[in-house]
Amino acid sequence: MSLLWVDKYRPKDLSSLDYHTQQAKELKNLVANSDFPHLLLYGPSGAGKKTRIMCILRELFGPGVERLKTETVTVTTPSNKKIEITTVNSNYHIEINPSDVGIYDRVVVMDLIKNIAQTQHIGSTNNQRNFKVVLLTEVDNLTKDAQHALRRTMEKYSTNCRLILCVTSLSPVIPAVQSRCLLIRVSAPSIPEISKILQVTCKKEDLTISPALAEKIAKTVNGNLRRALLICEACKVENKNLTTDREVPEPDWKKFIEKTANLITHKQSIDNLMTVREHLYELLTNGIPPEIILKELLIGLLLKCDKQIIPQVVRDAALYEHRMTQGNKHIVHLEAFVTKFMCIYQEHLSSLMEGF
Amino acid sequence: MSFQKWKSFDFGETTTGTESISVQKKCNTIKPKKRVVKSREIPSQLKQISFDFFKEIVPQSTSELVVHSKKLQELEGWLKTVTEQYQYDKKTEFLLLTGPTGSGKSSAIQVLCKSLNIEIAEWINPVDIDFDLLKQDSQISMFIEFFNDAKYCSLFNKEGGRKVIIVKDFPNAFLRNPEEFSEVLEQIAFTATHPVLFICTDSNNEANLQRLLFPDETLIKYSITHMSFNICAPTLLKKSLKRVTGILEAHPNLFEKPSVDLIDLIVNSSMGDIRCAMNQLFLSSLIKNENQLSEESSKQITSKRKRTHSSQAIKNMTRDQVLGLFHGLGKVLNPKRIDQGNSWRLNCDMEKLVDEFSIQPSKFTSFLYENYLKYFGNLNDVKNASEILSFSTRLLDNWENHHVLVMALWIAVLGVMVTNEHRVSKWNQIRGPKKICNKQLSMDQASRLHATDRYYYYLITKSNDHHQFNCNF
Repeated sequence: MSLLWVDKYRPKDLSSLDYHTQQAKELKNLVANSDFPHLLLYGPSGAGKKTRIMCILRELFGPGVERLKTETVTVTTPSNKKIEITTVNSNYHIEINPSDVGIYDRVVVMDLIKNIAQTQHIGSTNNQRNFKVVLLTEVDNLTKDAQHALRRTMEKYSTNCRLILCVTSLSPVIPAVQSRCLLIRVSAPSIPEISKILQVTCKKEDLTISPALAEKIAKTVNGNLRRALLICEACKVENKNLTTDREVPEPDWKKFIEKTANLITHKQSIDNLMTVREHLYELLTNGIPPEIILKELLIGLLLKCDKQIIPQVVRDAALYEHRMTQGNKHIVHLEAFVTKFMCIYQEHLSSLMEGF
Repeated sequence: MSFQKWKSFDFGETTTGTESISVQKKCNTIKPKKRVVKSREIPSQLKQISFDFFKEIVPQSTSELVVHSKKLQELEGWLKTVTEQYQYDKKTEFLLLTGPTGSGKSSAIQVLCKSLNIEIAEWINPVDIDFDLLKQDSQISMFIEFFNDAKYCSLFNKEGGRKVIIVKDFPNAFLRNPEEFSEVLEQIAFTATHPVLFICTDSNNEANLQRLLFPDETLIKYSITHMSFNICAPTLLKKSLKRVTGILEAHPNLFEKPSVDLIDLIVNSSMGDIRCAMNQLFLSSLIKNENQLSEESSKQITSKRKRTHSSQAIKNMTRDQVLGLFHGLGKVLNPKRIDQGNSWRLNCDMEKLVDEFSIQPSKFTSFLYENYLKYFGNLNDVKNASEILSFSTRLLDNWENHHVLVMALWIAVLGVMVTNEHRVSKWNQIRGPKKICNKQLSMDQASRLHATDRYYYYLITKSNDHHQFNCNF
């Protein structure tokens, strides 16, 4: 199957990056030196963190890093439970998402990285790097335990192993880990940048996209370049004429949340609440992150709200979002928010009725 | 009261010189015909009676056991295969037998082994520690030594080589240090002794042996077969009580024949505990106890035969009621209130309820969460309850400290009970908590994309082979 545009036109080295060119130059200088610290890249999703990391790796080790293979590694926990984790690795680096294994992430962080770090890298001919790179994604989902374990690993094995961490939000990362890394912010591209990239990409595909449509797509994606490219490709699959009047497709889960918000404002009852719960379960089982569900739901609800109750609703949303980030049973908090909203809304409606 | 007498009472059997010696040796190979029903409190006058009730009623054949016949077959099959296997395959086989107290675990084994001609060696914790002993090895090394000794069969055994080792008393050093137990297991597994049977009682408190010593990993690692007994079925219990009544009738000078109602009463109140049932039967059929029990009980039974009443009737002997999960949920979801003037209070023994489920607070709260909506009649109540549940869940995520978890359980239980002011009382099916597991996609392009972006991927590839949200409602 042909590659997606996202993968096909992903910049391969630091000099061909489309935006943040100044930062790219700095990164190049950093890598050119024989030594470089652990890195922590942070920024919203779809901003190009992963692209930059791959560019850095290519800069370090040459095109060999692009020969990737997936592997399943088994790690044994102290209680003799065997857990499996999928890694993507080349000869020079290994990519792990430790949060895949839930509460056992600490074992993965300790054992797996230790194993990699302890084996000395047998130097190949074309480069003199004597370290391997461990790329950890979604570090912000790691438990605190694992992060503390990571801190020790970073110190102990810094001679023959470099860590590159990739996070969307910096706040869940403990300060001890932050201070051991060079922080690199990859901010989201601006709307003109995205629309320019869309146009360039379409040109490479022998298509013409109207600048207005490119901008329209760029506006909807909220700085997520990956999504912009996916939307653009989805439009192309539907019809090759990328004219201004084309509709930008909206994902079904977004519509689903919107409908759910309508349902909440339409009727406030316990039966309705049970339907909402089913919907929330459906969203969660399909992997939509709870934070995004709450955010979209709030946006949908606020559209229907009177100005008077908006502050109260937002305050409650913030409270439950906070609780959600702390724990792992998200559905309870989501439902608590929905019930709270229903009550506020109902109360407001009845007070309006009294006014008449 | 002489010392000798006390001793003879405690061991159930006639005290002989050999017995006391074997106790001092700590690990004695007992005959299969040992006491099973342990006597608890027997009035002092009974000591003069030459008739040993609890020895008489020990089941002698499989038909007299209170265990379900299918379970019994299962256990018999295991015993047969492992003792035969042992002849050529020198690998230690393990069996873990669990069940509530008085479900007939031990007696089932004793009877089966007797019928299959299998010798039994049982580990008994050393009781009396004298000064010599303090200088000796620790309990654990004695435990291991016991296994080494148990390798050898009795010279008098004609069948030869058929033997099982039973561990019912676990050395208490293991309770403090469960890791040590798995080390010992490791040793035993490789020294190829006779098949080993562990007997554990189910209990809900923190000292749950099965949970402590036999976590799932251990069961898998040493391929331990696990069998669990249920509480005695009322029919079997009744049958067994009737059998014992027959024995009692042979001694008309000591016992009077218990009425049918009384047996029903005992069956109801003993909560499926055969030992408890036997004790009750024994006490209530003693001639001297008539005025205390039979009259009172027979009066009550004729009018109502509910469990609550029966427990009043023979209050002094009944077992504590054990709450099942669903029973507990029902109590929380259908709170009963007692009005007291302007105020009210909940008609429920909260302390006991929470205590019962304090082993797995998160399980109980997730059950509560899954089901509470259907029992509420007012949205405002739901608001308060969901707020409290959300708070409790927040506390539950802090799983390092068990006390916090119990606290969270208290909050959830009380919250749901107190806020439910407009109760909907109708029958609802209890649903189990939903597990949210992200569907593991194969390592293709779709799974590399974020879940929120997958929709576009499916648009591009024009595939319909994925979950679609139905937006038409």
